[in-house]
Amino acid sequence: MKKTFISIGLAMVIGLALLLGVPLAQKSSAQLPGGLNVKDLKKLKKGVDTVKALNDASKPWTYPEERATGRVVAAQVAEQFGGIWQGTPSAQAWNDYVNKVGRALVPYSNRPDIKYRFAVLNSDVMNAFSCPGGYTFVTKGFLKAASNEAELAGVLAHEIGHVSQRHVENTIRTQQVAGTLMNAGLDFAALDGQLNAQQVNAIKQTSKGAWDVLISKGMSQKDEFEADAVGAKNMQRLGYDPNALGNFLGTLKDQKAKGDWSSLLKTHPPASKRQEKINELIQQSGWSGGQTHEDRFNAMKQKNPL
Amino acid sequence: MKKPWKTIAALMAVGIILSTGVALGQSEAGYWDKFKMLFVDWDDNAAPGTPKSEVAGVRGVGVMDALGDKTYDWSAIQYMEDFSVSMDAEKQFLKEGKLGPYQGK
Repeated sequence: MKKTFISIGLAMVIGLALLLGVPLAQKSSAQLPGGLNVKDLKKLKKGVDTVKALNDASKPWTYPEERATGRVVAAQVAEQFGGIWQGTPSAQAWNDYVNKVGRALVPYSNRPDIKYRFAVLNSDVMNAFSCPGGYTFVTKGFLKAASNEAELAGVLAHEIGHVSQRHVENTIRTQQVAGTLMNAGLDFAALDGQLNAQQVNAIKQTSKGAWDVLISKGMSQKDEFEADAVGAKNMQRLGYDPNALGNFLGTLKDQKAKGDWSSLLKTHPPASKRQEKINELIQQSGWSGGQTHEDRFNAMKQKNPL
Repeated sequence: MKKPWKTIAALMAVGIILSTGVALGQSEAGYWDKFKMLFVDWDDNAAPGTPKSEVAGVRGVGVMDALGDKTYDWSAIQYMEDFSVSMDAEKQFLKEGKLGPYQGK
């Protein structure tokens, strides 16, 4: 009810601004009733637009908005982390393998109707990323450190969890600013190629917000724990041993000396705490067994050196 | 007096087996329904599940042009969007790994 009144009010103000603005456009100093002139009206309209945009910041992104933001951030992630590993039979085999594991998990996601995409980044930094819209990466460094397929599945399930729970988007929307800019983008993803400066700026700013969440600041601990829980549940449903996710996190301390985990540790809660929570969940849920596919994973590593 | 109890117990057992079977069957069917969606060529610029139209392929070009390629690896995005795994290959992967609907089989 309240929203209806606000919308009607906004429509009336904008309508008035347009009605009066057009005939008076050539006379910016023309006086309107109440001592207002066209400049004042323009300022008023801008203010109304900003309020409307802030109001819209609380709305979930549409899928085209989410995907458009995601692909820009994913393009930045790829640029920053060595690009996609490709051009050799080994690279092709690993990208294929990661896609198979990732896609097998998708039907258990609570958003199976969006297109998740997976790729291996040509970087020895050990990390994994997922961008809005489903663009998901693991690094070559991560694959070197993982010891079985279930660990890979666990990390991919965690990343899918971030997408399905809209963690990046929600973090940005709570900051409001990006929502305002996204609104200024005026559904840019639906356009067929022509963007104005304002829309380009909106894309830049929104993707910068997502970049900050993903790479610089990290998500909240709550979101990380939620992605772990969702990931453990979905990998277990697919038939993997859910302990593998916790086990992998448990090895982070040991691996620290062997490789560059700094970017991952900077943006995630302590691995020991995450492992503890996953173990609690497994116990409470009574999950047991499941595949690790260590043989299949090691065969991949032998046949296709990383 | 013993017989009716035996009958009731037997009926209950049959009921449990049937309902479990139905639930498992539904769960498998649910997986395959969503699994098939992985191989649909959607319009990424529309609501989820919208089939791709002929003009959809050119969309997004403007974003790439407008942002440039100094800090964005657009070839990576193209690679990911073009990457495909066939339905048969994915099914084979699940089957060999006894995963998803192939668990315990």
